[in-house]
Amino acid sequence: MRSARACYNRGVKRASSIVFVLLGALLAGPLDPLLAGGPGPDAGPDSGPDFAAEIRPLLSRSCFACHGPDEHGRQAGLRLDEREDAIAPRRKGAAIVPGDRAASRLWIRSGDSTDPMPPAGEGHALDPEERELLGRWIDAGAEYAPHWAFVPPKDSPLPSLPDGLDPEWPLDSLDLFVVAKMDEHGLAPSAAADRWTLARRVALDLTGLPPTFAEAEAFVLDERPDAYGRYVDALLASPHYGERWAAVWLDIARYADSKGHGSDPLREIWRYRDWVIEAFQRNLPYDQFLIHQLAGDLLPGATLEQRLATAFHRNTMNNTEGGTDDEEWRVAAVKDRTNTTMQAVMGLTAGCAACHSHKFDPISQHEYYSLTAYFNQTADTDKNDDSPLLDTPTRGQIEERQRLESDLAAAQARWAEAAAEEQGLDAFAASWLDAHTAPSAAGAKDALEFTELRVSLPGAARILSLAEAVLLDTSGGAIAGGHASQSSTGFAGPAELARDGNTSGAYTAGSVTHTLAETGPWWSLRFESPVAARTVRLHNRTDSGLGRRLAGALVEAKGSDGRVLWSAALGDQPADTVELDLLVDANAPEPELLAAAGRSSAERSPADWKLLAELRMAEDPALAPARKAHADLEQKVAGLEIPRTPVMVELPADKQRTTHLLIKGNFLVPGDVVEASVPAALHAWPEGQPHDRLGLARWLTDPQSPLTARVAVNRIWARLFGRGLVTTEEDFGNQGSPPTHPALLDHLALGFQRGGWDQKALIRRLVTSATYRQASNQTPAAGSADPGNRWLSRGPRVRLEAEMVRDVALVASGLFSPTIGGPSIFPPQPEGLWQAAFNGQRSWTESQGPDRYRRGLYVFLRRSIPYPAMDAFDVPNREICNARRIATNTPLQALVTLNDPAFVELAQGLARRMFAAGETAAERAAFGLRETLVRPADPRDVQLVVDLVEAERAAGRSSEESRSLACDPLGPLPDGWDPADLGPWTVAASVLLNQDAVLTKQ
Amino acid sequence: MEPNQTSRAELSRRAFLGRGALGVGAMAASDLLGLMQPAWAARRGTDKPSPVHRPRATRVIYLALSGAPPQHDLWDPKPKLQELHGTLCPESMLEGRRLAFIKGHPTLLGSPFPVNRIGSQGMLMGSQMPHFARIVDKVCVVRSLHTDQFNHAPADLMLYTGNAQPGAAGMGAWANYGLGSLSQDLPGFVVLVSGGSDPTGGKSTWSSGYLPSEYQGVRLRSKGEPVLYVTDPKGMDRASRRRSLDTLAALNRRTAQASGDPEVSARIEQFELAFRMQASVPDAVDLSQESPETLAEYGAVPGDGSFAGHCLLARRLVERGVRWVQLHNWGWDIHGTSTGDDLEESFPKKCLEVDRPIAALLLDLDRRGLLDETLVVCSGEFGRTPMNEARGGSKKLGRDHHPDCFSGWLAGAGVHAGMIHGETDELGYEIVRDPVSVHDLQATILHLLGLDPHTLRYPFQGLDQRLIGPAAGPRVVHELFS
Repeated sequence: MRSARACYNRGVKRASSIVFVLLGALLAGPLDPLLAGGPGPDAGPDSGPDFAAEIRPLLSRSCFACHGPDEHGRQAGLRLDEREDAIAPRRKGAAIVPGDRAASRLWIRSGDSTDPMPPAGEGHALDPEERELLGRWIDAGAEYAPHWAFVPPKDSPLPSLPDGLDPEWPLDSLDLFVVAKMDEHGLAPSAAADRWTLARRVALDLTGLPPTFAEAEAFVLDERPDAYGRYVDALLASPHYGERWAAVWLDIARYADSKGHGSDPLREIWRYRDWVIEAFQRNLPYDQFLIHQLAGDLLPGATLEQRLATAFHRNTMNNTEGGTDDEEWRVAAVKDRTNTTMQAVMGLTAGCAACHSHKFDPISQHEYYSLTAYFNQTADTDKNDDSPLLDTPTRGQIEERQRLESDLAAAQARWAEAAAEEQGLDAFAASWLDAHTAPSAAGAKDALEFTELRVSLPGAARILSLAEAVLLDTSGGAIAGGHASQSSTGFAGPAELARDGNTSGAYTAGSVTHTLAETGPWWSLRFESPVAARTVRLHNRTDSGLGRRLAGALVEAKGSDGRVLWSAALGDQPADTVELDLLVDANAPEPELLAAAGRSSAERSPADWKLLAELRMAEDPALAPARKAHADLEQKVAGLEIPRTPVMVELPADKQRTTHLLIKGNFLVPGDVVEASVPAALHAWPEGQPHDRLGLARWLTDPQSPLTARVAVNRIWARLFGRGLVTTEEDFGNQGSPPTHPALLDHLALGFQRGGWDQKALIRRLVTSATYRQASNQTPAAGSADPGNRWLSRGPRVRLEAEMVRDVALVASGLFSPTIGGPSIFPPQPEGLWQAAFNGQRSWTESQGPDRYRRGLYVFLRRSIPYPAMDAFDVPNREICNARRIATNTPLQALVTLNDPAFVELAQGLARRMFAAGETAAERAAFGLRETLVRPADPRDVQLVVDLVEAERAAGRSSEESRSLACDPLGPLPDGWDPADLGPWTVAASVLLNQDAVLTKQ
Repeated sequence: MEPNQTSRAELSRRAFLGRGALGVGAMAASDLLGLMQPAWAARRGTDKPSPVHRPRATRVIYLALSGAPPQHDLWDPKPKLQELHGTLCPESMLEGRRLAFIKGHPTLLGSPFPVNRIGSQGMLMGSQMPHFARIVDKVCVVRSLHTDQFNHAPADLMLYTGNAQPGAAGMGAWANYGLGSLSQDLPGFVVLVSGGSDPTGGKSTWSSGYLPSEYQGVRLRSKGEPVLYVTDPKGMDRASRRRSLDTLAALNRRTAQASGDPEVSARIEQFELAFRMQASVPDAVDLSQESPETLAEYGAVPGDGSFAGHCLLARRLVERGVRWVQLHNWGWDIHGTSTGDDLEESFPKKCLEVDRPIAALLLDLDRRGLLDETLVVCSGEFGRTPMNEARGGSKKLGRDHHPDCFSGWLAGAGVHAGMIHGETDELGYEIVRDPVSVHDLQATILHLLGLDPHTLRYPFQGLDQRLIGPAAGPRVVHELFS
């Protein structure tokens, strides 16, 4: 703190020199390389304007659309993006004659008022200043340089400390780069932020949550020299760190809980979101983070987690609208994966090249489709069920399943052991023999009474589907009711579909049950009390010849004790409808059994004993408890509801697709066949890597990549400082903005890469820098010299991101539930929002209990109907990769934070905390201020709040109105509390939550 | 130091007010440049668009008949088709075609309804919208619209945002981006949805896309609050809201002083705007202020959220300076798979629902002198086939999706009244004269608003994004202008 104060004083003393330097900058006019992005910051008057920083952006903007890399759009066969072409002699003279602007067609035509270039009404004309700039560049020799972003980052010497700056100011080498640029622009660092401010700022940045007042206070009072480092380390270790940074990545991953397009049905893919949280939490190195998501399934011995990570590219939209061509949308998804990969990792807008060669960046259409070839080999085909899906149990479910399966094995063992007990078995065999040899009882019943109907398929890798299972009573009437369940559910075929009254066997009719492929799948219908039925009618699946899947199915009726009362096996060619008579014992005892039971215990062979024991397990009433215990456990395993997540599954070599260039991007008009490869303008393919997704992932994370580390560093920088060193985070190409601090960007990128892609270490480095710790207050001089804080002469001051807007209010309300992960939540939203064409998924079932108060990250995100509070605060709709949110400031936001019942509820929570926190109005107001601002309350603010509460008290509100204000929707007040007190405090709490200083990171 | 900062804040506030109601981003104006434009733009100064010529239209009402109404039964009747009804369609109509639902060889479907000659020119029109005869002399019917999308969602996005993929900006957002808002206390782009369902393109249909989100269409809801959260919490009256905002402003002014950040003042102003909207929105949507005669003319019942009510509301909104009002009415997807979507039962009901209110709206605008500067456009998102769909052997009559030609009309704001533009073949399957692509239509609308559709752009993801797409080709259809 001491050194920073010293430096602040210096800043003040330097004020006059700032004015001087500013004047200098203005006098230098438009040619001053204010935004020098190129390597040569010292470009003198003789060397002409800098190509990369000043000339290429002009050519790119005004000329490349017709005279650039796109061979199809190219006019007059002229390209200006390559020097060789630009200076080549042409009929009317070369476009550029180095050293002679007057002879250059580019110069002549750009100033030609009758026949100008670019033609009137097309593209941006050059203004006189820009034209002059071009002229000077031509005169100076018209030297080209590659676009900065395609040149690998390089080390530069550390800038020296500007004259007069406190040598103790810089805390990290990055500060030297920053302060050198400040100095260049006549700026000096601001004082360090006070500790309260810093405590809140860095907590929001690292965890997305504000610190509690107590946490911040502990830091403020910590006199150890490394207090800030300790505070930062605690935040980096917080379980909420992963959530905060996951929220950043989820925009890029276009994560959503629905499939997008017209009807926008829901999608279960939250396990991917949780994977991202965990990956940040355990600080998975960035290169691995990318490799797992792009190609985790192709890693040798891929783990469940690595396969789950590939859901990254299953966040593509899926078009389920009737009449759509699945292939069209599969191709759209492949393009989206290509575009997202290039954008997320390389900061390039490759998507432009889907329809034509890129007009500004060196990606030809051919190269674009060569890139898509990597993503064109997965098994997903825009099927409505999002298949292929992967069973992705949570850690808790894996443990639970292991426990149940071991219980199941133990129950089975106990059951078998009990059945094998010799004396009991002998007695059972005798009575069984009696029953099956004695003439059947007179007056046979006309129906069978049982409590469970069960259909199972013996054998491995089988799928069980039923259209309908009907039980008929003696008069032929259908018996309703019963609870349907099955061993597992896949392909949107829950067990209930066999009891929905719809007997259609066509899968597309949505009336067919469907298990996964597994060993011994089963379907069961259980009744609370026995039913008396005469006939079982099974409706088989009828489409695609899949009815044969039911071949050899075992149909059983069981008693309440689990005893098999009746059974029948279906043949190898099951009919579409199978009718079975429950009075015909299809299971007449087999001769072997009769023989085994007939022998004396001494005569029985071990095989006889085994047969009889198995029979006893199934039938002996004495073993009912063991049977039931086993069946109950089976039901529990089936009831685990393991989430199934869409993932990438590579097609086998013999099924791989041929990839074509698509003319104008149209999937119906394939052009040349292309092979998987990467654009020539980028770095070389790593030797020995296969040309598949895994190879691509390795190429993207290769140290030779000029962009991967820069893009990652820039993204993290932007989240912390409010803007990237490259402002256009999404575009590092020719049309993007050049870096404000090119040497710093490279310095950080190389450090990140060499340090093992350690994101946490990078974040720690940035937030412990002196640059980050500056106060965000604007002095008038700095404000006008650098209104956007491009030169970083003060700390960041930006509106909170949407998730934080919610989270900050949650914490202040005292209602916050810190649970991490799990299915998305449904906080209150107005009724009727979920109304969409063609779609039955219209009801938003409001979360109750703690789920209602979980972080914004977990709010259910339906692409077509976003949650209003998130939408208002600029969460993208996640249809495509989004690298940067533009923060807006609209009255609709004010309406959300003032009136959205979700926020009203939080204000009510805060009001109750305030009311309980003190005896006097001043104490309560001070508490509310310090809880929302996370700093001791200013007495002037306290007075404002107290005045408001008093005015509200005097407003003459009815007790019913006060009760609504304080309790709707949060619920009744604690005993003995008066709504007349809490109503006014709720008004005050809402004001506190809406303060600019609360909605802003400063 | 303080006087200086106050003036900066004041400056920001005034800059904001100058731009209209919803028109300020969170970034200081000077910073917007750096964030949204490549570096060269920052040096050139502002690249904010402005009208390039005198506008004919200052506001637009778009009547979007979502689901795609059958043009053969409405605005492009085909006696020949009626004559050939029930016969197999010529093979040539199927060659190289992709149809959404039709399988096999379909039969031709002549309109089951009479065809009338209406208006002073005796235009040939379907008979299911009898009130259309009252306004036909004020509209310009375009029979040669075409698109390249034949599923609802992408076609909605193509027509209303210029791009079949989600993520582009709606026409209303472009209009407000180009011209600013006319209203101090209402959003510049308002969307009204009726017919029981959202358009298939959903909210992306009126998204701000890559434009700043302040230009997003604000949906006025039919049930509950007209704008989400415009109502104060239960138990709070206007006086209490005023007091609480005064306290909030006082707290925020102290933050403004301490931080020196002009954005704080902008935020204070947004809260004030929200306060004004809380009064102006409920007032604007309160149809009970209208006379019984007017309500009867539209067939509107206050509060029922019907298309008729929306037409009346549209007039009230443009009166109050809303730049762009977009009405979506679902239910025109006449496939003929059941009585819910067939030509003989469902379609006449839909016509009944919209016919009178549309005529009432146009006549009302005219009477009030608003039609001169209000452009009214009516269309679906694509066309329908002259063939009977007969999906799954359905006995109901209906038409499949057809992108190659469809009809719509424009009226007001200098549009040539009482004219037909473009022509399709005798079966209404292909355009034979004066095709107008949806990009052309967009270009034409922007032009009427005084904007240059070719230079109105917004840099995003490495491209100067335009409503009319990146390619050369779209043209302003000057032939439609009087």
